[in-house]
Amino acid sequence: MSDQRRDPHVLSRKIRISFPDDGISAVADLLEEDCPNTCEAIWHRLPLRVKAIHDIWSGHQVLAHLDNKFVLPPENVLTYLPIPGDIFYYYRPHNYFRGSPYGRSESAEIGIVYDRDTRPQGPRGPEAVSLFANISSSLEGFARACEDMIYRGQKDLLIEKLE
Amino acid sequence: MRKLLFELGGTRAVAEMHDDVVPKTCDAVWNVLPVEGMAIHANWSSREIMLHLHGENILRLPPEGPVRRGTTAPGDIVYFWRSPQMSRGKQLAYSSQFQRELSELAVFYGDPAGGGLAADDPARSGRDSNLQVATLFATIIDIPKEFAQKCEEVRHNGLQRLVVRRLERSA
Repeated sequence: MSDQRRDPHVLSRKIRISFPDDGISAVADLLEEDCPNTCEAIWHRLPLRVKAIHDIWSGHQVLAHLDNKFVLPPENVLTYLPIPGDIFYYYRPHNYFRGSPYGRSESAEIGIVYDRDTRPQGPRGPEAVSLFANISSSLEGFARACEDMIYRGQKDLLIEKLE
Repeated sequence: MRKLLFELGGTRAVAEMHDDVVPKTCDAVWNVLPVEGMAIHANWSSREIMLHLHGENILRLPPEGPVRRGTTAPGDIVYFWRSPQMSRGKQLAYSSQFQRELSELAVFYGDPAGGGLAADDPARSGRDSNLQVATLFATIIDIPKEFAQKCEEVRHNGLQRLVVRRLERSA
């Protein structure tokens, strides 16, 4: 890692993720030791207000599409199964899949895992995702709001720096 | 060959039952029709919506037909049942009557349809002990685009009313 790396003794940066229309939010710690470049890139893109949608391949997971120009190389790739509260970055290049899953032939996205029985995957099976944060407080209420998207559809999602 | 009519958000699709392959399942489904309720989108098995059977229409059928492995094709209609003991926690508000049991008709509407993992669910397959049943019993021929679009809208906009009827010969 370059000398730009933050002092590991400094507490990790935190982000707040919210569903403003529900009045629900949770706090997540950035995994800067394991995923420094992704954390840095995302930190500098905050705040982000995006539309979140429930995943249809992976289980208990919601995702939000980012600007396709926000392309980051894989880093701290999830080995196998995530745990509830894990937050990851994922990018698939143009025409990676046949058709246009989620209406996009190319996609940069953030995924949030809110319960067990989840494995990030797409039409071809499991996908390599960059695990960059984990929810450290208020997961239970946030998880209920994620699950609610199965019944009510998309929601606005706000991701902010927690200074 | 008997036919089924699916109505969702002002659109329609017609499916042909596989009477020759799974006659008992076809009979059982046919006998509870019409059924209706709020269709919910799958969150494991890609482009699939499900209609949970309620009250007297709940079906608890044994496995029938060839064991299926691998993909589920667009247009496939699968009868799915899962024993209460197979599910962690309660199933959710759309089927409070069931708590942990699932009895449903699953409609695979799109391309790619993925592995149909929820319908087959090899990781939790209880087929050998009849704890979980997934029987392909009908297929929509030439899925109307408007119908598939309405199915997809369920995941964008939430639950939507789905009606399944017999399509009688005179219809």
